[in-house]
Amino acid sequence: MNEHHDSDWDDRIRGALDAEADAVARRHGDRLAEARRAALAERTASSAPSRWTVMLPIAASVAVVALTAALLMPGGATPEPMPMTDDLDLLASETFDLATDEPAFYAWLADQELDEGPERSG
Amino acid sequence: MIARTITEPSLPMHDAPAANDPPEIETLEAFLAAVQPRAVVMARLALGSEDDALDAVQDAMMAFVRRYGDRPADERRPLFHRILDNRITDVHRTRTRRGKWWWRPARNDDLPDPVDQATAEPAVLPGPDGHAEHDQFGRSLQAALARLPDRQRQVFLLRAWEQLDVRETAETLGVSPGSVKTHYFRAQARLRELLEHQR
Repeated sequence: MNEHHDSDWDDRIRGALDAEADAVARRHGDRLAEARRAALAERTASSAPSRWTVMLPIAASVAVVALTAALLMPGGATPEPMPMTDDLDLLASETFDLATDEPAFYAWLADQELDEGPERSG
Repeated sequence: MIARTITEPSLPMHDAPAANDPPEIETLEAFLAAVQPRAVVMARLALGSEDDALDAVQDAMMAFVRRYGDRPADERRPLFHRILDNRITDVHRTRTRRGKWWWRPARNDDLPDPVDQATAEPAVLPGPDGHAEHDQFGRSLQAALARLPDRQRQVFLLRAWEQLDVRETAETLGVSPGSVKTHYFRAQARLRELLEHQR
C-alpha cells in the first residue's frame, strides 16, 4: 500500500485529534460558550447602525431643503448691471476722436495693418 | 486579555440557537461551536499554554465575527484560521518583547522524545474498548506534533484535520501552494517516523 494514501493512519490521527478537541470542550465548556457569546455580541454591535449611518441622510435632507429654499426665494440680491451709459455717450459724441490725440501713433498703426494683411490671408 | 475578564462561570450557551434568532446567526454560531475546540488544540500546540490558547482563540473569534461574520459559510474556515495564525504570531511577538521567550515550549529539538514520553506515562489500565491505547496514541501524537516546525505543523493540521485543500491552506498561511505541498509531505514523513512504534 502506498504510504501516502494510508487512510487508516490518517483516520487514526484525525480520531486522536478529535478526541483531544472533545476533551478541551469538556474541560472548558463554560469558558468556550462565553467566548462564543461575546463574539456573537460583537457581531450584533457591529451590525447596529452607527451614528453616521443615522445622521448622514438627515443632514443631506436638510441641506437639500435649504438649497431649494435659497434658490426659490424671491427678491434675492442680484448684482446691479455695470453703468455703461456714460461710456456709450462718450463714444457717440461727435467731438470724441482718438486720432486727434495721437495722430502719429494711428498713422503708424494704419501702416502696420496694411503690411500684415497678405501674411494673415496667406 | 478579554478572556481573562471572563472568570466566573456563566450560563452555558446552547449550540442550538433560539428559534427566533436570525438564520445567519444560527449558522455562524454553529460554525464557531464546531471550530472553537479544534482551534484551541491547534493554538495550544503553537503556544504551549492552554490558557494562552483559549485567549488567542477568543480574540480570533471576535475579530473574525467583526470582519467576516457575513461571509459565506464555505469561506469561513480559511478566514478564521488566517486570523488565528496572525493572533498566534502576535502572541509570540509579545512574548519576545517581554523577554518571555522561555514561555514557548522548546518546540523542536529540546522537547523530550515522544517515544520516551509516551512510554513514561503512568500505565493506564486498558478498558474494554481499547481507550487506554487510544489515549496513549493521542499523547504520543501531541508530543510528535509539538516537535514539528511551526509551518509544518500548521500545514499538517489544516490539511489533514481541518480538511482545507492546498489552495485554501496556502491562502490561510500566506505561502505558495508548492510550499504547502512540501511542508505537508515533510510533516507526514516526520510524524510517521516519530510514531512508527505506534503503527
